[in-house]
Amino acid sequence: MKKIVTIAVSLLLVFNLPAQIKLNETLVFSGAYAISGMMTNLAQLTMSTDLLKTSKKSYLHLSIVAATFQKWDSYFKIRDLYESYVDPTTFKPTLYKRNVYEGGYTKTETYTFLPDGKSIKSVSQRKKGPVNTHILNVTPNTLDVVTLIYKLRTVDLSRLQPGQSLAFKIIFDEKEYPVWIKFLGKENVSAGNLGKKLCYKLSILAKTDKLKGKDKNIIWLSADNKKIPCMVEFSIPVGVGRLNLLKAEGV
Amino acid sequence: MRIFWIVISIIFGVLGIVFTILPMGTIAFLPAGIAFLAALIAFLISEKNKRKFSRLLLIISVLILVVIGGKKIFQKDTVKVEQQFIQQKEESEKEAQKELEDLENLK
Repeated sequence: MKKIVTIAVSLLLVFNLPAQIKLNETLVFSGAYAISGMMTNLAQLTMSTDLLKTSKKSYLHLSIVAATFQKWDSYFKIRDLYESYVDPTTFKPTLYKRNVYEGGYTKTETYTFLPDGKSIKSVSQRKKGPVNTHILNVTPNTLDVVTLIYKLRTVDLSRLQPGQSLAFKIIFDEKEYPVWIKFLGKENVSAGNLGKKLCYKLSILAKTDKLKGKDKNIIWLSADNKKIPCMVEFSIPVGVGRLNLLKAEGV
Repeated sequence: MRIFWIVISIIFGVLGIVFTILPMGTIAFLPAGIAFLAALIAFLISEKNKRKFSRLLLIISVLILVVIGGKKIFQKDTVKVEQQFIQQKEESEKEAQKELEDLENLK
């Protein structure tokens, strides 16, 4: 009986979910980083969705896992986990968790989006340092980075003209940043097991020193109703890299 | 001049071996390729009775290139499945459920 209720709830949720995002979908990317000007495969990035039920509500659990390939683990091991729990229909985040392990450096962050809609409770810890708790004032509709990626997939991009931008606000490292997503045009991009896909080419612009260069942080979303991220190029203070979609399941 | 190319070939050959041992992927082709070219030049400009060492360097650099190519073709990129990380993810989800329930009770 419990199983039937769970399936029924899941089905209801599926029908309420935006058409672009499916429950239990998995996107696997290969992450390459430029070393001496050549792209070297360094890590795997997995984006997945599932359902989390509490006694009163159901949440869409969005998670991103970054892990170095085994051959790199002895030199620089990465095991990063980014998670967000959002309302399945509005994509409003309730809880964001970040658990970082990068070559011995650890960091945990938890943002609880408080019911007043304009404040976030942040609990963070670097390495084995003290646990810091803050209340951050934010503008309503502020998103975390994980939610932003998924939210972008629910936006109608078909009416955008090249050069036009969409504005968002995100919270990262306990700071709120304005982010603009600029539509650059359409391009064909290789999308792993999905073959070649015509994609929306979008530039991510943010007032932060964490992203470098103009139009050097780009995401390609398939120009269909699923808007699957097919490729990502990023330029950060320590170099440039690229994510290529290898496998898309359950989309 | 012959000595110069031999030295270059040795330096880049050693770098090529180091890069091949490290998981550097296609980047290892760069020093190994330079080592091969330097060895080839040294071989071509050497007198016939002095080609032994440059021939050896040429063979070594070709072997390095073959190993790099083989690694690229046959060694697949895989992520080690770690029980500890899986457990960490499960614990994180359990914590999240509790935190979300606490938050719901606040409303």
